[in-house]
Amino acid sequence: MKAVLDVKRFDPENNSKEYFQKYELEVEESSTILDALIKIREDLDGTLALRCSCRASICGSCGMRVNGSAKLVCKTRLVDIAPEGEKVQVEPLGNMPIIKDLVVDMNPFWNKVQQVRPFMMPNNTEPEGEYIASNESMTHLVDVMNCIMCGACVSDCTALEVDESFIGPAALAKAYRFVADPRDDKSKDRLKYLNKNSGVWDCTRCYACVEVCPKGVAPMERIMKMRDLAIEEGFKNTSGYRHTKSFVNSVGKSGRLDEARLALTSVGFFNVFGLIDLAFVGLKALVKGKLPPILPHKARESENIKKIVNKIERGKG
Amino acid sequence: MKKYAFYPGCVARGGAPELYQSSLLVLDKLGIETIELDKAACTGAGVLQEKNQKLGDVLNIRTLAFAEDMNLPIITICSTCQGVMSQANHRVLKNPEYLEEINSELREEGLEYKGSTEVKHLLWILIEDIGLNELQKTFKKELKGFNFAPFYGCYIVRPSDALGFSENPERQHSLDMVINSTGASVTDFSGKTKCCGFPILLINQKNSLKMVSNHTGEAKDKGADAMVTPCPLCHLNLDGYQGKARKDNRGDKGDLPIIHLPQLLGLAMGIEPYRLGFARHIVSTKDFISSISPGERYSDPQNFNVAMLLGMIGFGSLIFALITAIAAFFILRAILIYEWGDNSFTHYIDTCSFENIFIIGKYICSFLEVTEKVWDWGISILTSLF
Ligand code: SF4
Ligand code: SF4
Ligand code: FES
Repeated sequence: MKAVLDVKRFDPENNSKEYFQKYELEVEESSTILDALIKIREDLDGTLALRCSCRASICGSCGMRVNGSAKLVCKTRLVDIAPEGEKVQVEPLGNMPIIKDLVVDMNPFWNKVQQVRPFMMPNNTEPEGEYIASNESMTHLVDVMNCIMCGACVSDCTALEVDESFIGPAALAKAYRFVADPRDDKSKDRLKYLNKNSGVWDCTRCYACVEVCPKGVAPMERIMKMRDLAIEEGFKNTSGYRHTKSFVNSVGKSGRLDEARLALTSVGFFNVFGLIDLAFVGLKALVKGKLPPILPHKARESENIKKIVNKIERGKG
Repeated sequence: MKKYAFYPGCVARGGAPELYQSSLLVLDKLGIETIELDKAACTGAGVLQEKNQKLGDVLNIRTLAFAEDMNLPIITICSTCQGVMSQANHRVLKNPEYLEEINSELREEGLEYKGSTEVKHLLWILIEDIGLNELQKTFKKELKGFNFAPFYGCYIVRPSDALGFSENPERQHSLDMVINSTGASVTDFSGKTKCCGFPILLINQKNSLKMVSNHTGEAKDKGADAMVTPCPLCHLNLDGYQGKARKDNRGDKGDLPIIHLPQLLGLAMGIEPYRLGFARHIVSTKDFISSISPGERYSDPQNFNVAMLLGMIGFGSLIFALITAIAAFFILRAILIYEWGDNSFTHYIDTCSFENIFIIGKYICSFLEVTEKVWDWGISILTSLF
């Protein structure tokens, strides 16, 4: 079949600007995008730089953006992306500096992983035999441990895009792997650290990492879990905590979301500047006839909702 | 006549009344009959789920069960509601035991969900149930020459396995398709399926506003006349905070009108702009509207003047009272932290109740409760007035 690839080129050593180069070639029906790229490098253009190794979605070195979203190119068949031989755009991963063409500098990625101390920290000295952990306590970690550190999630993370200090999905998922491991004794310290320091509360819940991860790690879901664990450990002085709590309260009270109350409580009763800021936004909205926020709508028979909220929230402990 | 159970969502009934009002007009023109699910709870918007996923699922499956009882599919006008309900549905459908667990919570109310309800955003209904050809028959005005930047909202595009993209692949481009059907052009820009920043607005405002500025700025640079979104939460951020966001991050003016999907349809259907609530936007839509419908009435007739004034006075005095109280508490809080260390204060807030007013921390707690009560009273008084 025909393959048309529009590949992003960039060579800082020769001071070139970023540009796209179009390659057309014939490939096998079963070809992956990686096969096509390698063929380009071998037959058409030896200057094209790319990184790959296992060609079987194990090593995690071939992460790239295909038509705007991050993928392992060795796992992505060309026919699935461009069944009619349409043009396919291939770019290096996002949120990382480009070294050349499709090769990015993974250092920022590894620094973040190191930041969460990705190793077991038990209190006691080593046991006689092996560490014992029950099956149930480990099975839910299997998917997290599948991470191959390919950086796809980091590439497409929308929070990282605006704030490079955010620890990011891969490292946070890795952190969860230890927070939730029964053999690790430093969960509380870990959570304390992640509760601040551009950690769990800076995720926007955009699902990009869940969508692009080739290994089903679902970093965002781990981050949400850690938010809840941090709260349970008593780390409550965050707007994130107040926001969540107030949201649950609001639904419990009226069955609906009361935006005005939510805003007030999340900003916090002690944050004078935040409140003044909020008052301005509120006034602007009022002038525009967006009055309803201060007259919240109740769901009909909202007592039923209240009952459910109380029961299940309490049942959780 | 097509019939649906209507789930408007909290924001359409709260902070974005123009969405609700324009949706009703548009649904009527489309010949869609709806029954509003007024007993349904908030979907939780993903926030409730992060604290307690089961609670979120129970509330959403409850909503689906109401619709199932009426034998109707659900229509939503909110990307977030769509996504959160689809996810809940997806979770129970692939796990019958979990469905049973959820149902056991619903039985008290006489409900049981069997798994047959379909949840569909108006955007998808336009394409799948009505068809773009039929849709075009309702259009009276060609929007040729205008450029609209589509902004989907995360939850209507991810996670794709819950959203039925493999059976309905056109859903991924639905907004582009609908914009094209009005005769207008689509402004393609890199932010169209990214996060608007709303979920962290109250948590990390700086990051949130950078997102607003990036997306609206890029769309503007690429020549968009307005941005169209099927998500009222995105609208709250992109519209409400665009001024500040653009000033802080790009040093320019927030001037890109953010319009709701039904407002776009309404314009194409020739509905008068004032009835679509265009005056209720924070970023002015005036120039945009006068370029589309020159000389047409723009302002909402039902301007809540009195209500607005009262509301402003009420809101103003509340804020004043709060600030005074805050000043006092700042001092008390400092004392407390000085006396008992870092976590004592939040601890007291979490554990307070009216009953024991013995120590200073408890006084503060009760005051906070009183403030909340006053807030509630204020609201009920205002509610009874209008
Ligand atoms: S869900 Fe959170 S961590 Fe994942 S990509 Fe979005 S912002 Fe990043
Ligand atoms: S979480 Fe998934 S996408 Fe992210 S690095 Fe690991 S395997 Fe890659
Ligand atoms: S080459 Fe190893 S994962 Fe693709």
